[in-house]
Amino acid sequence: MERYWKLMFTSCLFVFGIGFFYLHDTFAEKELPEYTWEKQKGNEEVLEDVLVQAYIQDGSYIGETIQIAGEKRKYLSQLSFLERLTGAMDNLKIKQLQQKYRGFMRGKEESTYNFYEDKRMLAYANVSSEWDGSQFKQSNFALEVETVSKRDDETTSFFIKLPNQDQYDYMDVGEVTVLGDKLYVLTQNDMLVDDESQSEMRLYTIDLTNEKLISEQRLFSDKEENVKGDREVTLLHDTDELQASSYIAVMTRNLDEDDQTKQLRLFDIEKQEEWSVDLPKKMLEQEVVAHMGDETFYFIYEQKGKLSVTPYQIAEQQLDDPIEIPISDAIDVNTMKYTKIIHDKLYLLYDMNSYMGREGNAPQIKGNPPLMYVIDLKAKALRYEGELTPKNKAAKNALFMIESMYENEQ
Amino acid sequence: MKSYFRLTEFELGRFFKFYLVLIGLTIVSQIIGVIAVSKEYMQEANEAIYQDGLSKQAFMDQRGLISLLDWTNSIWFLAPIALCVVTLLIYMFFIWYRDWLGKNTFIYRLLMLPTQRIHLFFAKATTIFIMVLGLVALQVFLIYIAGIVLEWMVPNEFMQTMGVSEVSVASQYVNTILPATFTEFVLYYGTGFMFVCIFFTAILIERSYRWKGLLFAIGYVAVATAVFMSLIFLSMEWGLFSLYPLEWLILQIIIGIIVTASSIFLSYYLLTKKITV
Repeated sequence: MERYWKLMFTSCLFVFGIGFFYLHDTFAEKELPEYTWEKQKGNEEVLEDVLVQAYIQDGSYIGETIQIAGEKRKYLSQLSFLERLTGAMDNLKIKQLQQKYRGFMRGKEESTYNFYEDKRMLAYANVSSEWDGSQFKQSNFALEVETVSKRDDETTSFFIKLPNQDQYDYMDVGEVTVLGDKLYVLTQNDMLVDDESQSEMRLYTIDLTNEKLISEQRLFSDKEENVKGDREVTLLHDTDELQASSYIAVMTRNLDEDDQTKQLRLFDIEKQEEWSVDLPKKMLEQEVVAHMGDETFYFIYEQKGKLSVTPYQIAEQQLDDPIEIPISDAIDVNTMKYTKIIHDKLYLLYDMNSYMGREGNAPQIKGNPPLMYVIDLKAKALRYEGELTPKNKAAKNALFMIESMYENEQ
Repeated sequence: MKSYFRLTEFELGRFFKFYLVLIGLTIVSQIIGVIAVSKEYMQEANEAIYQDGLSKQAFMDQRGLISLLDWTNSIWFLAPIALCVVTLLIYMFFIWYRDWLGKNTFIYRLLMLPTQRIHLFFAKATTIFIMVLGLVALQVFLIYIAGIVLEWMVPNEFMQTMGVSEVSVASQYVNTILPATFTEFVLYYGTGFMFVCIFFTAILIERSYRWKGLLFAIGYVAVATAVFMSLIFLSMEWGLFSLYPLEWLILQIIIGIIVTASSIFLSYYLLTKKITV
C-alpha cells in the first residue's frame, strides 16, 4: 500500500471532501420551516383538494418554496435533481395531461390557456410566428390546431394562416373552446397605431371537420370610439379550467380621469351577441370570481366580520341571494386574497400581511398566519375555517408569502 | 490492473510537487482572503459607527451582513481556483508531450513496457481527473474552515451564518464546481472526463501523423464536440423534435458515453498500431 501513497492521498481527499459535502445535509444543518392547518370550524378533508404555494424567506440568501396540500408538503430545496428536471412543482394540470396523453402533449406549450378538454376530446391551439428581421417585427402568423379524440386516440392536426396580418404585431392565445364541431380561439392581439400601443381580443372560429377558418371577429378593444381615453380589459376565466362555456366574459374599466366606469361585458359565442351585464355600480366594485363552467359569477365582499358571496346566473341574467358567512374582524375588502373554485366549493385564502392597492407597506417578518375559508356553493354553507400556523422555530422566524392557489390533482 | 495502478502512481508522482504547491497556494490565499475580507468589513463598520455616528443597526441595514459570499466573490477566493484550472489544463497536454520532448524521449521506454499501452492512456487520464477532484474536495474543506475563521473574526451580530451547501447554492462560482446535488456532480464531472479523453485522443492523433495530424486532431475535437452537442443543435436551431426533459437527459448521457467510448477505442488503435516514437 505504501508504494501507492500519492494515489491514496488524492483519492482519500476526494472521497472525504465530496462525501462530506453531499452527505452533510442529511445529518445536520438547517431545520425546514413547518406549517400546519389549524381548524376552527368544519372539516379538514376539503383541504386535500387545494394546493397552496408560498415563498418562504428567513433572511438568508436562499429562499424556499413550499407547496401545501392537506397534510402533504413539498419543499423546493428537498427535491432531487431529477424531480427538479421533470418539474415536480410545475403546473399540475399540464403534468397530468402529459402523463395521460404523452404523445399528444409532446412539444406543446405548457400553459392551460392553450387547451380545451371535455368528454370527447382534448384540443390545443397555439399561435406560431416568425421573426422578420427586415421589418423588425413578428410576421407570418398562423394557428396551429391539434385535437385528440378520447374514444379512439385519433389525432388531427393542421395549420391555418391567419388573415389581416398587417393589423397586429403580436398575438397570444387567451382561451380555447370547442362547441359542436367548431373550435374557437380567443386571442389577444397587440398592435402599434401611430406609435401608441393598442390591444384587442379577437375570436377565430375554426371548422374542425373541414379544417378551415370560418371567421375572424374583433371583440373587445382597449380603445373604443365612444369612450374617452383608454380602457382596461381583463378576461375573466379560471386559468386552470380547461372546459370553457359558450360565453366570453371581460371586465372593462375606463381609464379616464372623470370616467372610471366599470363594466362586466359578455359575448355569447352561439348567439353572436355582446352585452353588458346590468348590475348596480356597488356590485361591480366587488371582486368577481368567474365560474365559467357553471356559467355563474360570484361577487365577493368583506365587511365588518362578514363575508358575502353573491351568485349571478349568466343565462337567467339574475342575482341570487347572497351567501353570508361570519369571518375574522381583521379581514377587510383590501386584504390580499386568493380565490379558487374546486368541485363546487369556493376556497378563499387571505394573506393577513399584505393589502391590495397599498404600496410601500412591506410585510412584517413575524406576520399573522393566513386564513382559509371554504364555502360550499351548492349547499350555501361554510365547510371549513382555519389558519395556517407556523409549527417550529424556523417557520416562526420566516416570512411566509403566498404565491398562488391551485387545484390539487393528486 | 497492477500495472495501471503503478503507472498512475508514477504519473501522479511526476507532478506531485507542483500539485502540493497548488494546494498550498489555494489554502494560503483563501485563508488570507477570509481574514482580509472580514477585516475590511470590520474597518468599514468601525468607521461608520465611531466616525460617522451611525448606529449598529443602521450600518447593518446599509451595508448588509457579512457572509461567506463576500469571500467567495473576492479575488482571494477566485484567483487560486483560476490558477489551478489553468495549470491543470496546460498539464493535460504536457502530461503527454513531456514524454516526447524530454531529454531522452521517455515515451520510448513507456511504450516498451510489457503491458497494454492503453493502460498508459488511462493512467494519465486518471491522474488529471483525480487531481481535479482532489482540488474540488479541498474547496469543500476550505469553505467549511473559512466559515469558522469568519466566526472568529467578526462579532456574530454582523454575520450571516451559512453552511457549506448553502454557499454552493447561493454563489454561482461555487455552484459551478460544486453543484447542489450528487447527480449533477456526476453529470458535470462525467462530461469533464469525456473532454479529457477527447483531448488525449487529439494529442495521440497529432503524435501519430505529426503535421498532418495536427489538422486531424483539431478536426477530431470539433467533430466530437459537435456530436456531443448535436441534440441542442437539432432541437434549438432546427426544431426537429421535442423531447421531455427526462428523455433528453437519457439521450444526452448515451451520446456522452458513445463519444467517450469512441475516443478510448480510437486511442487504443492509435497507441497499438500507429504511434511512432
